[in-house]
Amino acid sequence: MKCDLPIELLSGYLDGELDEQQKARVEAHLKTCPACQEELESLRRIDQRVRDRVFEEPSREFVFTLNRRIMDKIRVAPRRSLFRLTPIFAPVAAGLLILVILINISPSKKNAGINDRVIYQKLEPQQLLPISIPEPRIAQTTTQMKRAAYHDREKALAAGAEEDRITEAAELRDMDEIETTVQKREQVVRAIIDTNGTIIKVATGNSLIPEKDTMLENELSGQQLAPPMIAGQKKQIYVEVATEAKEE
Amino acid sequence: MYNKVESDEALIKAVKNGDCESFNPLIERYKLPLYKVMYRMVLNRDDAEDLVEEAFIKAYRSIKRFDTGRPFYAWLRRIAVNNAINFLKKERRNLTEPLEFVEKSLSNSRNDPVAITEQKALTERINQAMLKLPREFRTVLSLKIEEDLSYDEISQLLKIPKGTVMSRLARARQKLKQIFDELEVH
Repeated sequence: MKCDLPIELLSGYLDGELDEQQKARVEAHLKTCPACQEELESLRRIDQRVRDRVFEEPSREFVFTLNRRIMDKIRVAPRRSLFRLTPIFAPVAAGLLILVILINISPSKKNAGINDRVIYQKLEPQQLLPISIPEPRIAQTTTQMKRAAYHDREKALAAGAEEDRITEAAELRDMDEIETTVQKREQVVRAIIDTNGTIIKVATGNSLIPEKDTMLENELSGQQLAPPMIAGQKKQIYVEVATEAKEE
Repeated sequence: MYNKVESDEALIKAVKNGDCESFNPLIERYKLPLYKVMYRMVLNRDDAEDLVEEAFIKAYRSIKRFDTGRPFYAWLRRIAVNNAINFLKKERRNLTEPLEFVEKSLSNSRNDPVAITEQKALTERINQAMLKLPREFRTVLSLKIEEDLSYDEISQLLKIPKGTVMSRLARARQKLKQIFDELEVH
C-alpha cells in the first residue's frame, strides 16, 4: 500500500471490527484511493483462499474410537481412591492384575511407540532395579500401578464393584491395556524396552504426548533390563517410569 | 443409549453430579468441530487428533470449575487452543505437511479431474504459505477467518489485548499476501 492509511484499519474494516469513527475514515479514504481499494480486494481474496483450502478429514480410528478411549480414561479415574484406602490390599491386587495380564495379553498386539497409544506394561520391581537415571534430574525411580483400562468396562466394573472384587476384575480375559503411573509424580519418564530388555527410547513429560528426551535417552539407552515376557513370548513394551524425589 | 438430545447444560450438570457417562454425548457432539480447530492450528492430522483427546480429558478433569451458564464449546475450545499453543511452542521439528490427503479428500467430493488437480495444487500452495507464517499469525488468522471469532473472542481466548489481535491479523494478512505472491497463489 502506498498511502498512509494504516493496514490495521483496512484489515479491521474487512473484519467489521472498527468503531463508527474509524469506519467512516476508512470509507472516506477508499472513495479516493484506488490503491487501497485494490488492497482491500486483495485481502478479501486471501481470506477466501484460506477458507477454501481443502481440509484433511480425521482418521476412521478417531471418528469411531475416540469416545471409547476418552471414556475409558475417565471411568478409571475414580478407582484411584481404592488404592489409597487400601494400602495393604492394593499391592496384592496390583500384583494379581499384572500376573493375569502377562498371561492373557495376546502377542499379536501392536508394538509400542513413544507417540502411540500402546500397551503400557507394568514391570516387576526387580526388573526395574537396573534402571539408573542420573542425578540430579531424577533421584529414584519407582512404579506403581494406579489404574487399568479395560476393553470391556461394563464387565470389569460391574455395578457395585468394590475393593475385594478387584481380583475378580483382574481375571477378565479381555483386558487389553494397562497404564502404570505414580502417586507422587514429579517427572514422568517413559521408555521403550525392546525384546532383549534394552532401553531403546526415552521420553519425558506429563502430557499425554510425551516429548522425546534426547539427553536422557543418551544416558539411559542401552541399559539392560530383564527381557519382558508376555504370554510366554519376548515382546517390546512401553513402560512409564515415575520418579519420586524421596521414597516414603 | 442416548435416546434424547440433551442440552449441554443438562449433560454437564449430570457429569458434575458424578455421572461420567453423560460426558460421552459431549465428546460426540464436539469432537469434529474441535478437530477442525486443532487441525488448522497444527496442520497435522495425528497431532490434531491427539490434541482433541487431550482437550476432552482436561475439560473433564476441570469440569467442576466450569460455570454451567456459559457455553460449553467456547470453554472447551479455549482449553484446546491453549493446549495447542503450548504444544506448538514445544514442537521442535519443522512443520512439513504431507499433502497426499488433498487428493484423497477431493476425490470424495468432486468428479472433475481438472478441477481436482487445480484445487489440489492450490491447496498445496496455500498450506505451504500457512506453514511459513509465524505461529502467532497462523493462530489468529485461523481463529478469525476459519472460526469466524470476533476480536474480543480471540483476545479472551489467547489472553492478548484486542489491539494486538488487530495488529497481528493485519500483519498476518500482509505476510500471507507476500508469501502468496512468492508462491504464485492468485
